[in-house]
Amino acid sequence: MQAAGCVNLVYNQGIHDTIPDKGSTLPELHYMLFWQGIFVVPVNIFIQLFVPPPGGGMEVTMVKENVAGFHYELYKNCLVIYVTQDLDHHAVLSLRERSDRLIEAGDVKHVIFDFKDVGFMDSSGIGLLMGRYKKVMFLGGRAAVTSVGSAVDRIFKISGLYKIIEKYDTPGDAIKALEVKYEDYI
Amino acid sequence: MKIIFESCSENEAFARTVIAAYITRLNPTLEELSDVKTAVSEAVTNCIIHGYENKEGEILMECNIHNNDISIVIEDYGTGINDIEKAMEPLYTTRPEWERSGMGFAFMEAFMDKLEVESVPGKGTKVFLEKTIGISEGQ
Repeated sequence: MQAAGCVNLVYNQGIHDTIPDKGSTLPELHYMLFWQGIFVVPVNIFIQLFVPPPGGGMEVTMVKENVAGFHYELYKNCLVIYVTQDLDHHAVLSLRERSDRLIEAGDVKHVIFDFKDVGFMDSSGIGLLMGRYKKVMFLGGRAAVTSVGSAVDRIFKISGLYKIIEKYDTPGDAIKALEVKYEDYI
Repeated sequence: MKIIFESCSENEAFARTVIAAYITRLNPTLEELSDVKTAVSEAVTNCIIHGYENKEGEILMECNIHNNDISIVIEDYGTGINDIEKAMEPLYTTRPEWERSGMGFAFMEAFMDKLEVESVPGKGTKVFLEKTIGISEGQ
């Protein structure tokens, strides 16, 4: 019994040494922040510099927003919008405003919607895609959809959306295809 | 099953989740489940946007199961539809400024076996949807 108590005591002391709680003083916190600065910050910089972005090794010029429901990335002049929630009228309300702001503000030529994390879509999503297609079309750009699941694919087929918007497997494929077509264009 | 909920856009997800849970006992395929969810989502979105024009109101959703048949009623007490035939034409929309694709009724028709619309201008609209689950498996 005594031995067990002893181990407990040592264990508690160990916890106290590493986690800043009520017992830790300001100098201890500074000490921890110092070590975090040495180890954590360089690791983050390393990841940013050497781990390739998801667009198949394409250069990311800007990572703009990362909000619940969607995030955006800009590869050269291609805006990639990763939708991460069900695309109904409610989701479309905020996504439309945000994507338009990005298209108008940045040097965006083409727009790519990624549906990897979308399990459900209705006609509101079709309206959103057609609206963004019209917007980039007037600027000489094109629109594409990627990582389309079977449920969303049916909606696209029934609505005839594939007649105006191209489908690719990954955002990387779409960027390559759109860039090539764009080069041909000029 | 009968529920009444507010006409706010958050409830679109709520309505189709309720329907999906309710018809699970029929053991639908993923495709059938997504068909019914899409149709319900379209009908509820119509109530919110067109029926109540984004203002407050109540939407009634009723669902019954008889053998393998599901029948759904979605009703609002809003503006109603003047010309139902015109409203049901694919690509026709009264709200192009809100980027409505005009495919709501077309999707409901495509994804369900039967669609009926009753409407009185100024009083409201009632949409009847029917679908038989488990038929496509035998084919």
